[in-house]
Amino acid sequence: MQENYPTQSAPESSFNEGLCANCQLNVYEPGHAINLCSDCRKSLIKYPIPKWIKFFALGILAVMVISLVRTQQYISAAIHLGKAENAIDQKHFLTAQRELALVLNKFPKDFNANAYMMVASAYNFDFEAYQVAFDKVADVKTEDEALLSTVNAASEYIAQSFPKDTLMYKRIVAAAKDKEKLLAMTDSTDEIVLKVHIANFLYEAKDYDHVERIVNKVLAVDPNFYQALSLMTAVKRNTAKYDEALAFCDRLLAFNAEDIQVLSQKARIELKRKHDKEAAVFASQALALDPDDTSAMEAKAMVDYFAGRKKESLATLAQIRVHETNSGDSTISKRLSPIITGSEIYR
Amino acid sequence: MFVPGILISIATFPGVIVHELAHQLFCRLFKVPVFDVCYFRTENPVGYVIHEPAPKVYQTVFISVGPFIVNTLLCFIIGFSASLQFKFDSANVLDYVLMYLAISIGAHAFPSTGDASTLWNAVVKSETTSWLSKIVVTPIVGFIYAGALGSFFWLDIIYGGAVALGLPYLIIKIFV
Repeated sequence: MQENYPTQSAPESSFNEGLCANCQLNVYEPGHAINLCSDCRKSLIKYPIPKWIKFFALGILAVMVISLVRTQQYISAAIHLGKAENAIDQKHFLTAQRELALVLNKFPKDFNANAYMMVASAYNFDFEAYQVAFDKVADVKTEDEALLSTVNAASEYIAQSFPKDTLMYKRIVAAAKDKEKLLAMTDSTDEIVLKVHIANFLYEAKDYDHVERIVNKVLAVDPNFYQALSLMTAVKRNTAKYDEALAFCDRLLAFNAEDIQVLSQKARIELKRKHDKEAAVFASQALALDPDDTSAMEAKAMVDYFAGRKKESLATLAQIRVHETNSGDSTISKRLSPIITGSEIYR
Repeated sequence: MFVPGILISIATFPGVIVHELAHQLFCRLFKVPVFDVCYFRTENPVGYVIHEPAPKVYQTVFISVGPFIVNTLLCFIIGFSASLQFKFDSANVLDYVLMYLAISIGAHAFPSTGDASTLWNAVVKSETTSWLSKIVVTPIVGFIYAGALGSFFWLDIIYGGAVALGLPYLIIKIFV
């Protein structure tokens, strides 16, 4: 609170209006609201701040300095968390997951970081990271409804990969190479994930008509079903419907703008229709996101091969095989090898 | 829950001190003589600064809203040094002390109704000030009264908490 008052230092009885209102000794300086002499004006402008306030401020400053030293590591974690949140908002889930890993290195139990890690890893289909984060927050209650709903949506997204009817799944796997049996099983399950598994095996058999029919039925039930959309990109590519294939890719990128497999797929689609420049762009985008990702490396190897850089493409194939030795999954080298060794005509 | 304002002021006394200090510092900045300062007391008003009326309207405005600027800035700076520790559930006693100081200071950022009344009398009711000054100052006075009304709903404490706890992370998030 502040008040504008004239001074009342001098007693009223002997108050001389011609003199300074404060000291009543000197002649006042004209032109101000209150008649003060020059000395009084100067000293009152610098009305003293008590020493205890200065010490109080020094005390606060000391505590602040100590706290700010500690704050440095928190600032770095907050910056990474902020970047992760922004990346999640933009559906850049790979970036988000990397940033969150940095936060969790320092604060492994932090609720928000783990919850966001569940979201990012779910959209990246990184089951291991999802499970680790889930275990840390499973028993924690939160009132953050927005975060909870984001986590729930991501959890539903990742859960779509798992079939509930495991017996039926085993029957489908057992009939993987029997087209007639697979087709007969299509209508005996309502689970769309199992239908997509059947369609996957039919895709291996190059029965694209049936694959498309099954996938269309799946998409009628769930237009955002990742595996169905992903399979459709391959079917459309192999049936020379390139624009449609790219459109399906874009639908997938709308869920995760940093989906390396989809970017690599776009490169392979563009290569198939001999748009090598566009393919090179998508391949380098995928590679920039993760130089060690085997599908990004596959796209690069194919771009190199069709650009006449056969040596480089074979070197990339060798790198892919090294990665596959660690992961135990040789799908990519098996489909890439015949193309870049010339035993299969890709286009 | 209704808690008498005087009790809140006692609990958040560092904010009152900074509030009055802010008035005093703005007086010093504009070379306005100060006759008396009470940094804190346990009666209404809990603090005051008595000074000569400022010669210019903008000086009157700044002296009146000085605490809003100074208290908010200090609340943010002190809060910043502790808020991230709270965000990552790692706050210790020092952080709690700093957060108490920050929120206390932030809670007294809003100018008092006394400040609003000074501003009203010095600018809006004055016959010597221009219409433009009156047009600019009237909403400021309205804002101060709205803030005073909001303190019934703990707006002052909420404001302190938001500036001390929420703003640091928000700024980091916006600028990363």
